[in-house]
Amino acid sequence: MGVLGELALVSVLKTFTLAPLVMGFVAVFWITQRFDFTFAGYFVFGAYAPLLLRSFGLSMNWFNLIIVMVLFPALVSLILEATVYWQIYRSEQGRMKFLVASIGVYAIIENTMAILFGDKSVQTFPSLSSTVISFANCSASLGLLFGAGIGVISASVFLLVLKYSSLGLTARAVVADHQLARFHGINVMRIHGLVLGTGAALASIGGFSASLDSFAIPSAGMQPLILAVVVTLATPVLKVRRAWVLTIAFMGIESVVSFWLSSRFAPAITYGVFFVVAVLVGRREMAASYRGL
Amino acid sequence: MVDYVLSVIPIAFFFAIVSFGGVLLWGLYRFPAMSLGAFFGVGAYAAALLIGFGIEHIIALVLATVVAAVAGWLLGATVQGVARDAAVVCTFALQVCLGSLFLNWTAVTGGSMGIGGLSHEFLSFLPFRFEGKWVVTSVAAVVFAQATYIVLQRSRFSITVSASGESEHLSSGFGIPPRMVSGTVFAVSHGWAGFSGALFALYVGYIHPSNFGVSESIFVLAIVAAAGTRSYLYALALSILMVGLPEAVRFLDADILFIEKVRACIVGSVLLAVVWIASASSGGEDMEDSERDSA
Repeated sequence: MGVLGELALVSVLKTFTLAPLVMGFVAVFWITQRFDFTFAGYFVFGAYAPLLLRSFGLSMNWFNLIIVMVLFPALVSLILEATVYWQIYRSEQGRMKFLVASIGVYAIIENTMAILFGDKSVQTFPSLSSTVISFANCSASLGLLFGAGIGVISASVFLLVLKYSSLGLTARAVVADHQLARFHGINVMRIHGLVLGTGAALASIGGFSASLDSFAIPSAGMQPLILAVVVTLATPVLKVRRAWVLTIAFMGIESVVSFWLSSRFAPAITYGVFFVVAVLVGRREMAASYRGL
Repeated sequence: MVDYVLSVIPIAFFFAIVSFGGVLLWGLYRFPAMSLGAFFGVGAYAAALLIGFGIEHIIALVLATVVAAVAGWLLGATVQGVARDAAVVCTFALQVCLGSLFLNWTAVTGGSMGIGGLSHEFLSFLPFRFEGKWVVTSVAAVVFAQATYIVLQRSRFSITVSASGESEHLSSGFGIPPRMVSGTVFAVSHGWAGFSGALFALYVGYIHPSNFGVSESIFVLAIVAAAGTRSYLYALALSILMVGLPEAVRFLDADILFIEKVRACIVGSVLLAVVWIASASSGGEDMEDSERDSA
């Protein structure tokens, strides 16, 4: 396998590690029409989950990890939704105000993690990220493989639940027409809360799986979140396959830029690409809304 | 103690100038831009580089403002016609993109070492000590900036901006060119942010990418949200309060990193609380209405 093949493989694996965050974010937008920047905070929280366990003297096992990594963010999200977010969303210019408020919550979570664990990057599982496995002239760290596995399984389970369960059917009814869904007795507020809670848990899992390959750092949530936002903007409602392809494509762009151009400028170029895509898609969305007037 | 308080005042006033731009953008144009922190940096780096080329301080200050204003105009013209929440995301992406450039374009920005050794001798004509000179300069800058914004707000142009902010589509039907309006609003607000950044660079004498990150944009947004989106005086008072209060923690002998992070947590809490209170007081409305508004 050549360089291109290795880059493609790494892009796919990185996509899988970030899949819970991206797919959760995309689905939340489809159902609630909201950009929730708190997800970047949950992502960071998930990355620090093992360290949180250690610092509180709890033993590192799957049960504790799931409570801290999955249930806690979901609970925080549900509480926020029930107390603050729903009210903000329902007000005038609600979507915009919600976005701004969620940036505030993200700042709180990010800086709380920085206060607890410092501003520098920390490796949560050094043995996983340092062990490299080679196959077919390709190499990837054990952490990346584990992270990809956890990510793709959790994202797939979420998408399957969304597609085949009765809860998913209800959520999709809200996507199709929330007014009609409300007239049919569906509690739209409850669906929004559940989806946001599930999305928060997924974002946290995404942070955990990404940290297996690299490290935990308080500012780690921003880049994956902007990726998720751009994928969301560029994906029509309920087109899951498009969301996967776009995520792989964006990760591929970053890998190619890092490899051939400059690893130093890779983040700036990637964000530049995100900016251009967001402009193009935003224009299309605006044009579509004008046509609908 | 007095010297320390005097040394903090210019910083508060520089942030106040940036937040005036936020008030114009969010209050009048209904656009909570996330890029003001980065343009604060554009002004600072432009001034530092121009002074490095041997250009006079005052000319560097003017040129840095012009650079930020032109870049702001381009940004405004680019995000015009983009769905509003996507446009906010664009400004966010640009903020992170520029922040990354400040950090990684080592040949130009000095990277993580920053740019230092900026002298402030251009204020030598003022008959005060160092702190006094900068308090006077920053007060003059704030008064000038506020006067500009108030004149702008009372002119016919503000009606144009407000109409375009409400609905670009509808206002363009009345002959208001949306790209011109968007470009001008962004040029004014981001130009002033650049001016403020240039003054900041000359005052501090050393600039670093961490001065112009996402947290600075969130800080400005929190000031604007707390000030109420149409009041420049509140924005000024809140800038003093929000820059000043965390500075008071420094006397507790705490770690600087800890203080910075606590300040950022307070800023995030203020942002959330203010948006929540404003939403609660404006009263909930039907979900369909809020979606129609955002569209």
